[in-house]
Amino acid sequence: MAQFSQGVKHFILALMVFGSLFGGLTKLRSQVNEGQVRGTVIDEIQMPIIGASIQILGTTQGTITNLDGIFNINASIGDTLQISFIGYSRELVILKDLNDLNIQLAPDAEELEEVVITAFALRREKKTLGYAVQDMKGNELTQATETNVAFAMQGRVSGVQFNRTGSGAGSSTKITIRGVSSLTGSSSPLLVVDGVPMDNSSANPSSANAATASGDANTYIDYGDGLGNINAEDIESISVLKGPNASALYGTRGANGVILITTKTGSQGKGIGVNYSLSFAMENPLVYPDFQNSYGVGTAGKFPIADNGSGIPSAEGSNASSWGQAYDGLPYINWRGRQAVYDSRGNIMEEFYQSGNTLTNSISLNGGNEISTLYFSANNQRNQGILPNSQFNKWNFTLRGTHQLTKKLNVDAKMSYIRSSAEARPIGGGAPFNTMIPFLAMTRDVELSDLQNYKDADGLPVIPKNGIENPYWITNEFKNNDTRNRFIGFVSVNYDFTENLSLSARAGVDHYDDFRFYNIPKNSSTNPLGLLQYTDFALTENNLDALLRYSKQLNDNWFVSVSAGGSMLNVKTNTDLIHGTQLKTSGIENISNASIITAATVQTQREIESVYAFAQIGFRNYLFLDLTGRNDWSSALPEENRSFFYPSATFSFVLSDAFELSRSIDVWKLRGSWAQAGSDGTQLYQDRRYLVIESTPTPGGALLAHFPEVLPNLDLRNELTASIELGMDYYMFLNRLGFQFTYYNAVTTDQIMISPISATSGSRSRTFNAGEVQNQGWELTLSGKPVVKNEFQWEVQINLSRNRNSVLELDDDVDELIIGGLTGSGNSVTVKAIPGQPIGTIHGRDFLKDENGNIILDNKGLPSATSDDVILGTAQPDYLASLLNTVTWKGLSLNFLIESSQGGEIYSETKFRMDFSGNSMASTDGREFLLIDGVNEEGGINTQQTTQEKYMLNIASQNIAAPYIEDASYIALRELSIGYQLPDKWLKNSLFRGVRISAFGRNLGYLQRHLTHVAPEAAMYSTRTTDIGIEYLPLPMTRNIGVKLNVEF
Amino acid sequence: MKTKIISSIILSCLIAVSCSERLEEINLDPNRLEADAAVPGPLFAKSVTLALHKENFSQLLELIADFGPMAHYFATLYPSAFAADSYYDLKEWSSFGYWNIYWQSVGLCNDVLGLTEPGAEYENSNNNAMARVWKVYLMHKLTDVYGDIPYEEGGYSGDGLINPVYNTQEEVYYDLFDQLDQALLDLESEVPGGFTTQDIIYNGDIARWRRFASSLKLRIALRMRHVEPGVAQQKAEEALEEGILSSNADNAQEISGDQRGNFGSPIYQITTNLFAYSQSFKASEDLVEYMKGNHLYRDGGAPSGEDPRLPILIDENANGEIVGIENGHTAEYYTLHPEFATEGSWFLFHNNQYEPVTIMSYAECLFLEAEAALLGYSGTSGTAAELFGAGIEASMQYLGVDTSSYAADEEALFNALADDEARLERIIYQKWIALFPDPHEAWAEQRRTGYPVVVKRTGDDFEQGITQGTIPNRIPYPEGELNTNYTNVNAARENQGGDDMLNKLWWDRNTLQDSWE
Repeated sequence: MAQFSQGVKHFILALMVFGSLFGGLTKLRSQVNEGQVRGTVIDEIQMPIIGASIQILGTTQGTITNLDGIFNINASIGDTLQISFIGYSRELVILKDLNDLNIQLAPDAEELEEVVITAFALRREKKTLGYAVQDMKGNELTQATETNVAFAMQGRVSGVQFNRTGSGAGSSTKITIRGVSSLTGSSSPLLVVDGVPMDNSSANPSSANAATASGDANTYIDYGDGLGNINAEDIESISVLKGPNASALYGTRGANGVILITTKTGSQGKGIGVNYSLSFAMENPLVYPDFQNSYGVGTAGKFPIADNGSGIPSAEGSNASSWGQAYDGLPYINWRGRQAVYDSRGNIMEEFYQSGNTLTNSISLNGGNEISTLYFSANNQRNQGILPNSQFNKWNFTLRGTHQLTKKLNVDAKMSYIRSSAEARPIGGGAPFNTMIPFLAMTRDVELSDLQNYKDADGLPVIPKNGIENPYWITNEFKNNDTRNRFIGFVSVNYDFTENLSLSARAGVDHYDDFRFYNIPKNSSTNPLGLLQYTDFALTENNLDALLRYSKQLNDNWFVSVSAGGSMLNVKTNTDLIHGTQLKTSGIENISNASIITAATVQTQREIESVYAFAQIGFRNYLFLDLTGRNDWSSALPEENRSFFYPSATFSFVLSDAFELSRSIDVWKLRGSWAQAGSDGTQLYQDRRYLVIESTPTPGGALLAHFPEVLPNLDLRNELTASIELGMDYYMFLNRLGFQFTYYNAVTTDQIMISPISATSGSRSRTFNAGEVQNQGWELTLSGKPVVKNEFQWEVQINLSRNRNSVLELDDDVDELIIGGLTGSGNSVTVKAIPGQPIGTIHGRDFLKDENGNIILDNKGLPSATSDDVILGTAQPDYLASLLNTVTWKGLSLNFLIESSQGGEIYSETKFRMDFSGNSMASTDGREFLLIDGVNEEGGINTQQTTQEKYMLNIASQNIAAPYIEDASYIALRELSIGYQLPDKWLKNSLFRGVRISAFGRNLGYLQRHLTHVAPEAAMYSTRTTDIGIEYLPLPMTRNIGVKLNVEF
Repeated sequence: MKTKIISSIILSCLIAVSCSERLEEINLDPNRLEADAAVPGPLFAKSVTLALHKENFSQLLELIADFGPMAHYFATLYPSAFAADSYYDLKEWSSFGYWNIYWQSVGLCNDVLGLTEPGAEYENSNNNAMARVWKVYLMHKLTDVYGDIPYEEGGYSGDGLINPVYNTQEEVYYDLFDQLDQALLDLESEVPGGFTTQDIIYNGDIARWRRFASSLKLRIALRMRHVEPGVAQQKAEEALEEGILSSNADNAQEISGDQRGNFGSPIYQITTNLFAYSQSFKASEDLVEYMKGNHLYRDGGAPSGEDPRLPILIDENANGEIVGIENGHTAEYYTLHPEFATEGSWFLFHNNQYEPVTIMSYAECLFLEAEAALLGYSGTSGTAAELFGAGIEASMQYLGVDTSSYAADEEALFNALADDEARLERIIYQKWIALFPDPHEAWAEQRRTGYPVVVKRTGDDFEQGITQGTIPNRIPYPEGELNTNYTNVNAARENQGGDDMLNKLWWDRNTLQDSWE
């Protein structure tokens, strides 16, 4: 038994040995009673531990165990040997003689944290790293079940910003590590699972304006990202590599940081381990718009029709907003021509959105013997959203096995199948099928019961106001659904030539196929002819890599490890699209029902080939230097600029090992690094002029062709990010207090960007390399255990970070770059990059003011707009902070997480629409008389009164955006969970090995929030880097409360 | 040793894979053609359809929303959202779609000119001349809206010219004549290989292209008659001698046919795809009341009666009435009058998917000729009164209206007038009806002649915008142009005395109308 499992152990630990772990070698000491001591280090199940470090305390002498767990060291009687290995408690042995030793190490969960996963899935001891890495364990992320792993990561890593799109379960998350670096491309980190990159792109809503007019809903649907496809229960740990310094080896896609996910493997042991978990959570909107419930339909405080002929006022067929008279409880004729009582209807939105829920079932089996391990998991998540009829259902199956073919050859293989399907995904943004739009627009006296009969006798929609859809028409008639089938797998082999030399090779594939359908029914109010669309989007990403590793202890002081390898990345996509417009009849959701059918197929392919080498030099186990170099050849660049090289260097100096320091100091480490990372941008086919042949039917059957609006760049070059990072780690009092500080400064130059050019040239924009964007800042993590007493333990972690983003320069003839914004809906804001400012300054019209800052009011008492756009805010937050607390007592544990973002502004389209339509609480003030603070045109104090209605309509017609810019800061109670692990003695004679029950809550509330109507962290409409600073009518973010049961057999 | 062997194996594998040719092949876009595969026909057809239909509905909306209300064909019910009818600053968002599309269309025209010029791969004098005429059409529309434009250097981004220098409107107008004259020299029926299917205007009919070129020349000549009367007369007489459009069959318009895809009539597109917007626009009261005959000319005269084209052009509301909405009211005023939304009439004519867009009509040519006759130019085919009556008749024929007594009655009233200005007034009013729904031309003629008369808006019920109630004389350059080509566009602004919407264009020198406002 022990013999067999030894082989498996070899495989698992080989990476550590060859990649990083080493210790100083013994130095002969001329002393009496000295001699060579031989020892074997084993773990709790009698397996030899490879690479355990043995050190003679008080000296720099040490060694490590070999593949059989055996070490030899020259020592003297009376010496104290310290035997340590990551993940295990340190063991001290005082030599009484020079006989062989047999040392068993006990596992130590605490010590596990010292190992992190780094580039190429290499496990490394934290102290050898010259850059900041932060990691999370799988069970931290699953305490409160979330539908996307990214949601669960929020607040657990410093310097990382998470923004949701507010589209419910199955939606994407925007992750920004250390600020936005790219002006027009992507700033998303690379996602790597078990060493294999995984596509994390989300089928993003296109820009805010694109889809508004054509009613094309597809561009507003968030179809989810790659992280959302991962089964959280499979995750062993997540490491976040925060910048080029940590990710230089990931090449072009690693410049924005890397999220490394390590999934579980089977473990050898007694029998099969079975884990089952069941979780059920309810979700309800956390933040509703702040509606008023005092005024109904009308204008200037009056009903649209004062008397319908029989003495009662009427609003039948009216298109007015909620600027009518105050509720009086008297009868009136409502919008549908029905006599009703003119009174508050309460928050009808609360009745419209239902209570959602998520049921998660997860089971995993693992087992193994000395030569093989197997891990299998199945997971099902069913979500019923808050939007009626909205559903999301996800299945994950994973099978992973490892096998030792010979003593030197190991194989590790994994296969995952993921199937997700969604019905009626909520639509955000300006598409008319966003259910928020009617609620923000229709008058407050509209009753839900009048909306529920949403069709008239002819099957036509009944709408409470022109230009919007009835929300029940949306939920019952508008259809969208999608299915994704995804296969992810890899095979990796590792061959140990000698103790010092090994070769590993890996082939990974990620393939998914999305089938999407949506149907805008005929007779819709905003699109009477209707349309339907089928999209089949397939992506295949293949990664091949090989790495040859050699490590050697050169002499007593020096350790060297050298690796070289190469990789190939190939991504192909295929989109087939069938689009039908002008539906012939209603109720038939089939392409044959369309009068005009257009089809398109779009294929893309990108390949990057790379070679790289890296070396690590260690001196006496306390000074480490890492050097890396990588050369990429990208298909996305023109031939002469295809190849680009980038190096990095990092050092780590463990002061606490180098010098005799106070005994209270556990670790004191200084680290620093310099790195470059190249990138080929995010767009393809930008380096030559192409001709587009159009497929649409034309008058007379003419063929149409045009050149793209974007002028290509025949001399496109790679982007380059250069970064320095300095930091210090400090742990004391047996890790009771920890402190990690990092300063970084990263500059991205030569960005591949697309900037508008004069339309008079015949093109709209051009592609070029320019620009310089800097992100500098610091990250601080404080961790501690204020109380550790008997079985009571309280752990605290505080993450605090500040990133200062600055556009240092754009191109010579580009003064500013418009990266996003909203125009045309009656209000207009743009989001820009301007030299000297952070990326994402929000621009729009302000109130016209005098030199003292007083608003100038005209003779009607109303303000005017500035003649040009001015900077109204910036989308970048100043600080991110979080506080994690874990309190455990016997089997009970309590976790809570408070998360915050401070600084930065956001434009609130919801606020604009609420104010404009007289639906907001803010619109109830000054309905009769409103005196605005300011000066008149002559410079005197304004005395001219107006009304709130005139004021708010005036702001809209003048396009003044300033009142809708709000502070995006918040402090949120992100998570609270209470769990109880049943005592082992209760389970002694049962089937179970462990039972844990817990209750959890997510997004429980705010300690601080300024954005009036919407959750600030879920306000965006897409995950694109450039869609920042704009809140665009998202579905309310939900508060989730649930219970979870974990059972181990 | 072993190490060396293995590492050299790995490296050589990788280098073999990194074969540059393979990556070069991957870097070729499979969805598009390389530029050197371009042939002129599809580019020419795209240039025409682009300008007539824009790219998507929102830009099409801009065309209607910007210029339709200025031409008093439409009135907007939500003034805050639609700048033109409120006389707001149009540079912000409203007109950029039109600007962008026209320049893209110019760029495609330049590509066609380059591909078909003498010595080029697709050399063909007819095709070259068609593109030349089409470019004149695009350019005169651009300059008539903005004034100075980058006429010479615009539309050459393919050659790397991305910051075009502006020309004055005067320079533009003189060169437009040169271009048309060159085209008239080149257009020869005998030259083989002209565009046919790819010519979606005349299907390769060279004789009609010649008539279209001359008609444009006449239009442009009369446009500048107040500033260069001599040149105007010379060019107009040349055009009349050459021969302008001579029947409705000559009309420059898209090929008809039901395979139109998204290229339906603009009004139909608004009604169907932009239903929400079509409810925001109604027929202008000025248009409806004029056609009902409820109109007094400046001399106190009135039309002969209700225009039989009215029920063809404009739809009845739910009550069976044709009702127009007054242009330019405030948002507040409209919210106080919600009935306007249901009572206001929408358009019937062109509210048909298959209705082709008219570029220039026979009726317009007759009105141009009538004006030439009024001015005593030589070469006209009849008296001003005859041509005026024929113009009305041609328009009615085109709309399929029974040529009842209306045209004759109008001609008789016209004939009885002694005052030339009063006669011009009738010509332009009738041309206004015949031009429907081409808002560019109607607004340009309104600025040149002052007809239809648009009174200055005063009072709290009307939006007065940044022109203080006066109808704009031009549109400011789009914000995008200021951001991307500042030096050149700013020189043009300074040359025109600022970017003011009230600055008159070079040809807008008829001072008579100033006293009416």
